[in-house]
Amino acid sequence: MELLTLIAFILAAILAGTAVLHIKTLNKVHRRIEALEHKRVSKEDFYREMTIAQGSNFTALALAAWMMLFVAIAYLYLLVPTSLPYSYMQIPVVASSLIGFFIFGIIVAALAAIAILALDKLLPEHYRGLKLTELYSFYTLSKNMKKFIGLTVPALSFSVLFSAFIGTTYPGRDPLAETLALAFLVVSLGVLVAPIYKEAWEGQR
Amino acid sequence: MKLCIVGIGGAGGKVTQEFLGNDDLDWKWLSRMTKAEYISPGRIKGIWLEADKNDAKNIQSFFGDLNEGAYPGFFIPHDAVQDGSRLHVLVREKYGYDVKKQGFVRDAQYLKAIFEIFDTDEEIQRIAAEMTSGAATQALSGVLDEPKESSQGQKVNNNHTPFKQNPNPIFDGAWDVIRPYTTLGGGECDGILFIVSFGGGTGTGFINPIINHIRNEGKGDYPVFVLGILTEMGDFADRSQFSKEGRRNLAAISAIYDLLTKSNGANGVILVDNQTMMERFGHDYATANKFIFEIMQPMVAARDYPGEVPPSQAIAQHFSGGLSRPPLFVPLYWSQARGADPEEELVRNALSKGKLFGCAPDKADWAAVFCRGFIDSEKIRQALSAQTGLMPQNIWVLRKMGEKDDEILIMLRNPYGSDPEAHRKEGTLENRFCKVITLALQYMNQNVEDLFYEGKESEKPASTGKEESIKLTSLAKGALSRFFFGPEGFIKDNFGKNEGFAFELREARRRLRAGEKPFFHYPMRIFEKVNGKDEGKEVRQETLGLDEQRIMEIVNNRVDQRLAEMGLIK
Repeated sequence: MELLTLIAFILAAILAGTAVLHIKTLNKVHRRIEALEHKRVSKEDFYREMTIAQGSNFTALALAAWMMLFVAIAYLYLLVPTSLPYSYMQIPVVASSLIGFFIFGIIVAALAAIAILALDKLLPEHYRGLKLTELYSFYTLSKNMKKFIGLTVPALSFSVLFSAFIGTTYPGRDPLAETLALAFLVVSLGVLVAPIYKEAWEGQR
Repeated sequence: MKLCIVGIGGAGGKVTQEFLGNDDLDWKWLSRMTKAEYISPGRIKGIWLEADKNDAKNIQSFFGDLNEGAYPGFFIPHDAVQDGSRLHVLVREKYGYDVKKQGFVRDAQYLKAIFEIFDTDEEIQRIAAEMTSGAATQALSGVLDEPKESSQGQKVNNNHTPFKQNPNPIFDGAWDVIRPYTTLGGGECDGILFIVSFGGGTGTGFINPIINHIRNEGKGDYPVFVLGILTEMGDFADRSQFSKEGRRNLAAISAIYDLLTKSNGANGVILVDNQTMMERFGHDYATANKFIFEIMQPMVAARDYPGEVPPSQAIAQHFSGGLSRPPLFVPLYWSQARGADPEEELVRNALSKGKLFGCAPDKADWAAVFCRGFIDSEKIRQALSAQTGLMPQNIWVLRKMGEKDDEILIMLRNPYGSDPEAHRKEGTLENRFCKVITLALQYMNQNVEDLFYEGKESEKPASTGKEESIKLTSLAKGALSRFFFGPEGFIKDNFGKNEGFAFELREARRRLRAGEKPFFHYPMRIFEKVNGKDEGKEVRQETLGLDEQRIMEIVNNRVDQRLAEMGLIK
């Protein structure tokens, strides 16, 4: 198995792990609060008290970062058929267009935005924990952590640019561009999910 | 509970700055795009009231000018009075007070006197009303009618509009900038926390008049708390505050006296001893200010336990419930790494290592405990009760979900008294207050001319560059002399034997030494009202309330004693 493919599985595992840990953390805190209050606490009440405003600048950047993450993943893995059997190159209409990469990116970003907004609007209040728009409001983030999360937007843009370069030179391969695209992607993902893993780790105490 | 934090004076502003940091990314280009709201921890709002315009405009950069729409902002209250205006000139000519004076001379009596001049002098009230807008003039007409109580207990005039007190541009201006943040002015804050340094300049002088002003506006039940940092012993602070130890202690005790004797004053006065802070942090005031912010987090931060989200009103009622005078609170704080069953250890460490003011925890009559983390309130109650002897029903526990550590902030109410030996022991509240009172009395004895600002010129020139000096008129001098020393006036080494503030301080020290509680009794004024309410009657009524309180305390003590004898409590 190629390294790039292996890392794809690791990235998927990290993302899945993030979702699982996030839900587990919220449930664990909810159970502990119920035990300490000696009564049933509705999820709505629990989420209302647990969430804190992180600021609209940060929230805007965090959402942009998550959308960029999906775009960067799509660019790295779906632009050329190096790791996966499916790719952008198999859609001739887009692949032969002058602004094909741009259209591809917009479509992925739009799909990500639709998914995020759908979760936000359709999920009832007792499933607030699953809303990506509110992900960070359950955690305590330092100002530095917020800055790092904000900086993943340009980092993921670099990943997209290197992936676009790989797409342009395909079928030729450029290991340096692949490494850089991957590195920016992995580091950004690490930063985006760090608060969830940190809380889960500290919650074990 | 969502508080509006109002820092007053230099030290108050620096501590307030810690509370008002922006939680959001403050990248200007992004803020313009998102029209971002300024978010502080716990969604706190606040402002800084300062007397020294130069300090506010040029020395710091955190607060912007409120008049230019900045947030967080500073406000210079005495800017409301125009330099050379009729009001400015009249107050100076009639009393000698310069209402626009900045800086060092703003001791407790200075602003107290100005507040009371506006409160009592009808000529000045008339000019103040003329100088303010039509609304204020209308308000003055309300003043002339005797206020009544509305069905909600709010003071109203005969037109059934909220009662507006005598116009006072300085305090009206200050309240006008605070009010919009409060629920009274359409904001979100359901209470105010004033942060001041007791012993500094502006904070010490401003705190009582502004609270009186809020209360006189008919906001008798709006929650108001004070967090005061008592000046340290010794002369270190003198260099920065341009004020000697004795003078700082006199200013501090004057401010605390007024706060603790006004029956409709603050809902709680939280005391932190700067001496304790200096023992912990040396002269690193920045770290000390951060620490004060940290210790208050269990009380003011967000993430309450569901169902344990008291409005400030409830906290205020619990804080001062059953008392006829504002209570004094000593905070004890401890934080430790999150762990299993932390309650007993948290309480033990807070009681033994976390006192921020000398006190005897077993003498407290009530306690509010604010926790952060996964804490069992019943275990906290049991631990605190076992370690202090406080009855479990007199311990109110409130919890928040917290961050990475377990934290506890115990607010002990009136933790002193009933021990005639306490004033001799270091680390007791009686001992600390006796020292402050002694230093204040010594200062009065040795520097009586300073009390009347005689021969005193500003060590801190106004921003205009003009030399500041105060020459009180005989009217003001007479009033001040009566206030400090009673009708007999000052007699070197033998003053304050029968009446006046000096006498009350001696009496307070005697009560502290005798283990009596409370140690301050009677509210005092520099300028008595000629018309209107009978001050003496008010004092007598307050005295009656005090007696009731004393009776309640004695009954409670006897009940506790009996229960202890029966082995039901420790």
